[in-house]
Amino acid sequence: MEALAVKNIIKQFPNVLANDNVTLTIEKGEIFALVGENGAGKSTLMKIVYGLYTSSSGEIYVFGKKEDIKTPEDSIKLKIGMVHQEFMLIPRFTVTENIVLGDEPRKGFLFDYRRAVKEVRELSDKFGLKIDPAEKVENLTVGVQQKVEILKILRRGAEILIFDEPTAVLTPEETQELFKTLNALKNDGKTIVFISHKLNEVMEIADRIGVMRRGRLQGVVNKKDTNEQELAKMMVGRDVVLELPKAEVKRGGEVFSVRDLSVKNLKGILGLKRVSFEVHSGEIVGIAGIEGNGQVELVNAILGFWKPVGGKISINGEEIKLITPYNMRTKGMAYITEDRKRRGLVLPFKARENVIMGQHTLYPFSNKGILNDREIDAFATKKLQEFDVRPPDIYSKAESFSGGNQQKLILAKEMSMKHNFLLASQPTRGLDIGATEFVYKMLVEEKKKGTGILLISLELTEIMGLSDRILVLYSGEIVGEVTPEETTEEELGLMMLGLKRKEKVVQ
Amino acid sequence: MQLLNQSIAQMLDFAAPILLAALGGVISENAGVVNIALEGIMRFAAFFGVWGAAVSKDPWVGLLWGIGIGILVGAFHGYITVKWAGDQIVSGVAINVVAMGIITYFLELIFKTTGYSPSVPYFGSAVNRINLSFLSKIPLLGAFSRLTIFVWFSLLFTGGLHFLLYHTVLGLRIRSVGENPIAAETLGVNVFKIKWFSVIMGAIFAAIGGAALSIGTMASFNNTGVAGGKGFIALAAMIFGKWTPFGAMWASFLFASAQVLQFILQATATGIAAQIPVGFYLALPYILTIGALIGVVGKAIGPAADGVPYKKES
Amino acid sequence: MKEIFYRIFVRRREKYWWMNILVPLVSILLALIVGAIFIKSTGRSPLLAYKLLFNASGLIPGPYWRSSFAEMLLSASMFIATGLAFAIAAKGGLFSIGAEGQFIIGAVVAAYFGYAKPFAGLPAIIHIPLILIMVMLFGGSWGLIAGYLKAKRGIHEVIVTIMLNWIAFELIEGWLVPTGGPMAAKVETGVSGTPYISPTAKLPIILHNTRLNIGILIIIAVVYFVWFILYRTTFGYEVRAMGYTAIYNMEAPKVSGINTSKRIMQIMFLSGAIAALGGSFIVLGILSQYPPVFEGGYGFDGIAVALIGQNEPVGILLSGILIGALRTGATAVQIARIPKTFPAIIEGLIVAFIALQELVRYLLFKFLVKSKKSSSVTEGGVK
Repeated sequence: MEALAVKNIIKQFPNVLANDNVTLTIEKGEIFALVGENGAGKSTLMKIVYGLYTSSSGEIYVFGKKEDIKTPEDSIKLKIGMVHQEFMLIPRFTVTENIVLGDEPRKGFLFDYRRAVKEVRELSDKFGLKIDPAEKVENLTVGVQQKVEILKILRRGAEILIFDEPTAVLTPEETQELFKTLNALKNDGKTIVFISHKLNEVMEIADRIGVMRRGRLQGVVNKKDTNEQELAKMMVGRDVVLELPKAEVKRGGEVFSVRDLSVKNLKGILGLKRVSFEVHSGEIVGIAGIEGNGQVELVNAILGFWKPVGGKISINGEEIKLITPYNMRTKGMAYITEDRKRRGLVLPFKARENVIMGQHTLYPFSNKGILNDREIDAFATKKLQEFDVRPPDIYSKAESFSGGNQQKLILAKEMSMKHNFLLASQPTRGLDIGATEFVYKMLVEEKKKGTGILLISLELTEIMGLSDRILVLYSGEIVGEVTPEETTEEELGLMMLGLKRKEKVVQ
Repeated sequence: MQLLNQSIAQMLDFAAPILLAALGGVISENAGVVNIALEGIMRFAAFFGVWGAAVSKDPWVGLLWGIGIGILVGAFHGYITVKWAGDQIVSGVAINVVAMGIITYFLELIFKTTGYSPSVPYFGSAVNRINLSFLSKIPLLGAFSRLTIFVWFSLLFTGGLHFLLYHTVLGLRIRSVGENPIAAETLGVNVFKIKWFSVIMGAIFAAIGGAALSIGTMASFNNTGVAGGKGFIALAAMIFGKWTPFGAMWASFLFASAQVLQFILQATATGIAAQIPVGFYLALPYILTIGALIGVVGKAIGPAADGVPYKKES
Repeated sequence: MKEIFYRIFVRRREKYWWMNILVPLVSILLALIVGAIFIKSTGRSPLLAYKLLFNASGLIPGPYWRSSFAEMLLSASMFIATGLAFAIAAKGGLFSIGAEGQFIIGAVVAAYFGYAKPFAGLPAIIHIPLILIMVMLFGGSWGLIAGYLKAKRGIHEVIVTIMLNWIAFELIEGWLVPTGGPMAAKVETGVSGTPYISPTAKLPIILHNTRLNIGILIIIAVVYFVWFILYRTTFGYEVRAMGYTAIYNMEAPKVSGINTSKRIMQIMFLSGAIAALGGSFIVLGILSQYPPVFEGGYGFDGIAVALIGQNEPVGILLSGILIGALRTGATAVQIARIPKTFPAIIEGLIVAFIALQELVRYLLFKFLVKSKKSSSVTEGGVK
C-alpha cells in the first residue's frame, strides 16, 4: 500500500531549480532512502512534503489521497513527522517542554506540566527511547537530542517519519541504536524516509533507495539489486573512487604540544582533564571522540578563547604564556574550522576580503595601516584559482558560495599564511564528495610539506584513513592511543564510549 | 517610620511607569521582537491620556485613550517588524522620532500651548487613589495605603506576566518563538500570531506606563520632562532583569530607589553634604546603575532569537 | 592616481548597488507624500506647506537664500556629526545611544577652553585647534567608558550609553553650569550659563553676512576621514568585520587574530570624539557660550540621520543636509498654519519607510528589475 507519493514536483528558487519534475512513490512499512550529493534537492523535496516549503507545482498524495499541504500543521495532521538535519529544539527548554510544544496538555490556559512529564515518560517507555524529561536540552548529547526529536514526532502520531541526514552527528554506536529504533518503528508499521549521503549506512538500513542528482530523480533501486559503487555513480554521474590518500612522510621534530591541559567549559565543568600529547612535523594526529567529550574545550583553549585552569600549550617547543589567536598564529598555527559561518568566514564580506583575513596587516596587503586594493585583488584571484573555488569571483560575497566552496575559501585563507602547525576541526563536515576529496588531498599535501596536523573529527573513516596516530578522547581524557593499523572502527567506538582503554605502550 | 513608608511609597510611584514599560519590553522581546520604541509609546500614551482626560473630565477615559494609541503604535511596529520582517531597531527609532514631532504638534493644536498641557483630572488626586488607610499605621505596609492604581497595575501585571510566561501554554509558545522560531514553526505554532500578540501587549503595557507619567502622580503633560528617557530606562531595567518580569521589577525598584535616595539625601543633607551640588545627586541613580552592572550582572543574555526578523521560508 | 583609476573603473561593483541609493530616496519621497496627506486631512494646503518649507530651507536658491543656506549648513554640521558617531559604532557592531551626552560634553568643554583664562588670549590659529582637540579628547573618553565596559566586561553598550547621557546631563546642568557652579558666569540676577568665549575661539565665518562658519568644512573633512578609515585602512576592515559578525560574538575576526577588544574601545572613542565635535559647534559657532538652557535632541536625531544615510559617510553627509534643511525651513511653514514641528514628523516618516526597507525593496524590485527577473534556471546546487 502506498504511503506517500509525489507527482511532478517542481520547486524553483530565485537562482536555482531545486526540484525538477520529481515523481516518487514510497510504500507503507518500508524504509526508503533518498540519497544524493549536497544540494541534490532531497532535503527540499521532503521539506515540501512536510509543509515547510510550498512547491512551485506538483501534487502530493498521502496514503493514496491527494492532499494540499501548506504548513507543518497540515502535514502533522496527516501523520507526517520530520526530524531535521539541524535539530529544531530549544536549548533552554526541558525535554518535556520541547516535546509537547504545540500540543501541550492543558488545564484551561494553564500548561499542565505534570501531565506533560507523565505523557513524555509513557511515550519514552513505549518506544524504548530513554530520556530524562526534566533535563534541559542544551545539556544533552547529540544522540539523546535526536531521541527527543523522534519522540516529538511520535507523540503527534506520526506514521510517516522523515529523517534528514540523521547520522551526520552520531557515533557508530549511536547510529546502530538509531537503526535499531528505525527497525522497531518499521515493525510497528511505520513508514520511514531516510535522507542521507552516507552510502554505507544507506545500504545497511534501507529497503529501497532513490537517487537524486541536480534536482532530478535519477532512479529508484532495491537494496539487494545494487551496491555503494553503483549508487555513487548515480549520485555523481561518474565513477567515484573515494580513496583516502595515504602518504609516507618521515616524522620530524615536535611542532605542537599540550601538557596537563585542563579546561573548564561555559558551565564551569571541567571538560578537559590533564590532557597531554604532541604533534610532530609531517604527522597527522587524529583526535577521535563523540561530540561533547572535550573537543570544544581543546579547540577553544588552543585558540585562546577559553583560559585553561591548568597545564600548558607549546608551539615549536616554546610555551605560549598568553594564548590569543594572534599569538598562536604568529608562532606558526593555522586553523580550519567546521563552523564556516561563525568562525571561518565573515559571510557578508567579499571573497577577496575574507581570503586575506589574518594577514591583512602585512605588506603588501597594507602599508602603514592603509589597504592596497590592487595587491589584495591579485592575491585573491590567484588563491581562488589555486584552491578551485567556484565561481572564482573575488567580488562575490562569501555567503553566496556553496558550503564546499566556502570551505575551500577558508583553506585558501589559512594555508596561505605561514604556518607549520595546522589545527583542523571537522574540516569536511557538511561537504559533498568533491569538496571532501579536495580537503583530504590538501591535508596530505600539507603533511608532505612538513606541517604537523591535529585533526579533530567525528567521522571514523576519516580518522582512520588520514591519521598516523589516533588519540581517543572520552570525558575529557585521552583513553587510548593507537595507530590505524593496529585497531578497528569497532575498537575505536568502544574507546569513544569509555568502555575500553589503551594506553600507549612506552617504548 | 513615616519617612520609611513615605519613601517606599514614593519609590513605588517612581517605579511604576518604568516597570510597566519594562514589562512591555519583556513580553515583546521574549517573543523575539525588540522594541526600542518604548520611549515613543510612553510619550504618545502620556499625551493622549491627558487629552482624553481633558475631553471627558475623567481620568479613566484618558487611560483608555492612552491604551488606544498604544495599540495603534504597537500595530505599526508590528506591521513593520512582524509582517515585513523589517529592521526592529529602525522601526523603533522611527516611532520615537515621530512621537516627538507629532506630540508637540498636537500639543499646540489642541491645547494651544507649547510645553505643558493644562491640568486635568488624574489618578493621583486624593479621590482617585486607592485608599487602604487601615494600613497607614503599619510600618512597611503603610506604604501601600495611598497608592495610585498604576502602582497596583504594575505589581499585578508583574505577577500576571510571570504567570503567563512560565505557567501557561501561551507563555511557553511565546518563549519558544523568541528562542527558535523555526523550531516552533515546525511544530505548528503560529509564529506570526504570537509575535503580533506580544508586540501589541507590550505596547499596551508601555502605554499604561506612559499614562502613569502624565495622569498618574502629576496632573498634566510636560513635553520636556515626561518620558524624558524613562522609556530607555525601562529598556535598561529589562536587560538588567534578564528579560524576566520579576527581574524587571527589582531592576525598576533599584532605579526608583536610587532616585528616592537622591531626594532624601538632598533634603536631609547637612553640613558638607549640603555643599554637594544638586547635579551629583541627580546623577547618582545612573552612576549606581553602572556600578551595579559592573559588580553584579555582567553578561546579560536575552532570548536567542531576539531582534532577528522572522522570514518564513518559501 | 593610478589607484583611483583602478578603483573606479576596474573593480567590479556589487550587483544592484544602486538599490542602496534608491531606498532612502524612495523613502523620502513616500514620507513627503504621506506628510502631504496628513496636512490635507487637517484642512491645510500641502503644496503651500512644502513650497514654504523648501524655499526657506536653504536648498533652493532664491531671494534671501543666503541666510537660510547658511543656517541649513550650520544645522546640518551638527546632525552629520552625531550621525557619524552613531554610524561608526554601528559599523563595528555596537549600538551606541551616547551621542546625546557626548554632544553636550563637547559643548561644555568647548565653552570652558573658550573662556578659561590661560587660553583666552591665544591667537585663533592656536586657540581653535586646541579647543577642538580638547573637545574630542573629552568626548572620546566619555565614549571610551562605554567601550571599555563592553570590551572588558561584556556590559551592553545600550544601557551604559544611556546612563552616561544622563550622568553628563545632570553633572552639566546640575553642577557645572547653573549659578554658583564652577563654570557659571558671575551675574547678579537671573540665570546665565557659562561666560562667553573669547573672540579668538569663535569659528571664523566663511560666508559673508551669515553665521556660516568653518564648522561645516571641518565636518566635511571628518566625513572624508571616516570614509577613509572605514574603507581604506586595516582599522576599518577589522571594524567592519566585527560589525558583520557581532551576532556571532565576533568569532571569525577573533579567530583571525583581530584584537576586537582594542577595536571596540577605539571605535567608541572615535564615536564620542565626533559627537562631541558636533556639540562644540553650537558653542563655538552659534551661541558663544554654554547656555543656561540647552536645547538637546541632536544626539538622538543623529540616529535617524545615520539610518537615512544607510550608515554610510556620504549618505550621512547628504541626509544631514536634508535634515538640516527641514529644520531650517521649519519656522516658515507656520505661515501656512502648520506647526513648526511638522518637519520632525517628516523625518520620522522617512525613518519609518527605511524600516519598511523590505517592502520598499520588494516594490522597487518588482517595478524596475522585473524584466530581468525571468526564470533563469541555473544548474547546480540548492542554497
